[in-house]
Amino acid sequence: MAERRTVLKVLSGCAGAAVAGVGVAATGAFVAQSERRPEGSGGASWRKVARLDALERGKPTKAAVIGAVEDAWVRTPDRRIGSVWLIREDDRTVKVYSAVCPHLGCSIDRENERFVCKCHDSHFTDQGGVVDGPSPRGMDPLEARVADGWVEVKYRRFKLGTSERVEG
Amino acid sequence: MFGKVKEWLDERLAVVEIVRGAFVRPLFGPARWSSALGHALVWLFVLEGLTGFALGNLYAPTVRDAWGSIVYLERTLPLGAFVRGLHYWIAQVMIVVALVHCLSLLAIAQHRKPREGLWWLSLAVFGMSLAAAHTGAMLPWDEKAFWIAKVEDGIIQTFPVIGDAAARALRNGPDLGTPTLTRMYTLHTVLVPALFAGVFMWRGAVHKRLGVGQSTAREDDSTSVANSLSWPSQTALDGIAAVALVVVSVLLARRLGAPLEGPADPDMADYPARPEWYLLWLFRLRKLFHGKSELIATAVIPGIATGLLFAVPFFDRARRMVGVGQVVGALTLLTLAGYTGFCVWADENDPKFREGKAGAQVRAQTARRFAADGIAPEGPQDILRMHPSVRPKLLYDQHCGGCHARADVAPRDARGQRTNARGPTLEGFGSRGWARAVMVNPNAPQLFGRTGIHGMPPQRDLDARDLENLSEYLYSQSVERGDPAADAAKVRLGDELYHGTCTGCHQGGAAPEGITAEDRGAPDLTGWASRAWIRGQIVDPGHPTRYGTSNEMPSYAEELQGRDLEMVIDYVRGLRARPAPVVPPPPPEESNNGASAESGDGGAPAPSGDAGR
Repeated sequence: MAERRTVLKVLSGCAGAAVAGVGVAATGAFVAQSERRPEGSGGASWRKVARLDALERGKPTKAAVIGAVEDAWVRTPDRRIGSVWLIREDDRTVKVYSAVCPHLGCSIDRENERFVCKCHDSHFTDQGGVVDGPSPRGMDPLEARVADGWVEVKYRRFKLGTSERVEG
Repeated sequence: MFGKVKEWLDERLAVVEIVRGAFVRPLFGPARWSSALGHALVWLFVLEGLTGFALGNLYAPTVRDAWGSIVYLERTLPLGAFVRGLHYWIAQVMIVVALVHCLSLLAIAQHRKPREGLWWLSLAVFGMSLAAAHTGAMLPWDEKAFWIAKVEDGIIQTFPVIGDAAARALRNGPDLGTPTLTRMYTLHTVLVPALFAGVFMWRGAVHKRLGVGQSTAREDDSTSVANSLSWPSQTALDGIAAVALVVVSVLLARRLGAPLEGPADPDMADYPARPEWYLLWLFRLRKLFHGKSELIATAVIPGIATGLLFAVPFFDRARRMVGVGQVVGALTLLTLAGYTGFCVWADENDPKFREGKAGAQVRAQTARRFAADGIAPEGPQDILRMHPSVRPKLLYDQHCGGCHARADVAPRDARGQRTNARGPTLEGFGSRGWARAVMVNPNAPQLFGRTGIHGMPPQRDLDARDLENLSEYLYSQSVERGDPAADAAKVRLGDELYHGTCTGCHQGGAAPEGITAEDRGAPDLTGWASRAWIRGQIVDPGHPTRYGTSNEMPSYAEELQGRDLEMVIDYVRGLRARPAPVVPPPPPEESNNGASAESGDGGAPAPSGDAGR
């Protein structure tokens, strides 16, 4: 009799574990996410951001980077994928910084002749260095060139909150 | 009669047992308000379920639809805005009540053996009300929600070891986006409510075993037995507390509604990002720790505070009126509440924050107004930029305003000098006044003075009447349907004058005798300032029938196309209504020097002022 009860207990336990296992697997699928990295929003290609002659020498100008925005199953072409700050130095060189604050990813603004991230009050010099505030590193420079009168940029994103600059 | 029906139903459907299970507990001493607060939370939770169900009826958890669906729901559903306001405010009230409830448990020492579990479950209720409110705050995907998500994503990434994986799991993908919203939505509507309900049921089960309202302050409390039932004396208090809290929520919902800012815009740099009020303490705490030590604020201090709160029963083994645990717990909670209050106060008194907030308010109102016209399939992100009432000006400022700015705001270079190659002001462009100003002094700085176009001399020998007739004629070139008509008599006179005088240089129409095509380098003014003329100027300003070789304006054929191009044309046409520059004729010697020096070898055909005589 006792043996029969034991078997039944084990059986109940197994049934419970089986159902729970299916449940765990199913919720696991919820917790796991797609590893898909959107194409086209990376930094591989040159993107036109502004006409060179629209930039005043030495004056930081904000420009939108246009590309296809991929959000899961939606792909929207010709949208802003990010913003950059351009500083024209001469007729061939333009310094370009990502407008993403390296601290936590807010958008860097310009106020009183300084770069500022208004989320947490990080300030940056025109050379991109940190003046004060919580940003762990200076503004992220981007590769840029001038071609056919246009400033072109390779737009990239970097890991936030780290003192070293790592793409990703 | 009622008794019989009740009996009949209970025998078959166990109704009495269900009601008893829900409301009847052993009760120690009199009914208490502190217990009532805890129970009222259950009632509020049920209301949240119902209002949430109503909202879920129209809400769509995608980046493209979330904001718009909420605006739509508030605008079109009867009571839509009220129900959303109620859902929001009950959630806020629950946070406050859950905290006060924890404090009241400490005050009457309900946290010691064997009631530690009730203390922990009450803390869990507090935690769940935070989790519910927080996941809900993401759902509108307005500016606030987006920046909360953005910043928190950044914070979580900085956690050691688990940071990346945890952030990724919450984002539900490589970037913030629709999968983040669907995740927050399922958390908010399924997981969090399920856990919340579980905590309440658990607490109910513990109450059933241990009773309600037992103090553990004195030694003999543990031996005392429950002397009555919670039904109906405690239940009545619970009900009164719940009704009072609902009334407060209804009033807040009616008066303030639920906040909704403008749609999320990742490019908005002028937004004073703040978490919801109940996490402001975390925001401000973080400002004190920079760099690697930021973890002290984001993880260490919150971790210690949570640990202390859960450990409260262990500090208090002995039965005293006031134990160490009570003091630790109360201090932790009061510090949290007090610091939160300070943070709210500090923000309210920060002029920069208020200014940024006011800007966000304006954007929110504008965006909602625009949304009434329908949101584009791409979503509301660019609604403030794309709406026909603002887009033309933005395009103009972006593409044209750099050169064609108002004269008084023309940009200067680093040395304070006006920069070269600036185009004429377009204020009043196409009006009689503008045409007159060009004839009086084309080289005025507001006109062509800072361009490479210096071929035209001031028309000194036109008298006032000639100027008037010519202006009228030029104005008539731009008259389109809907514009005020030109004076036909003056136009006729101006026409004669134009074709007798101006066509010596300006192309179009027959050239006067003795003038060859080479002499006629000035632009064709047929249809001047009409939509077609402006379009031509934007697309191909260097065309031979326009400014030809002296042109310095780039073609905007690439930047401005389709609707954008038409919008800019409309905008420039709209500038006609503004006052045109009024320029005095130049002093004789200066103008001669200036004109000849600039245009001497420039290649621009420059017939002298005598040509018209």
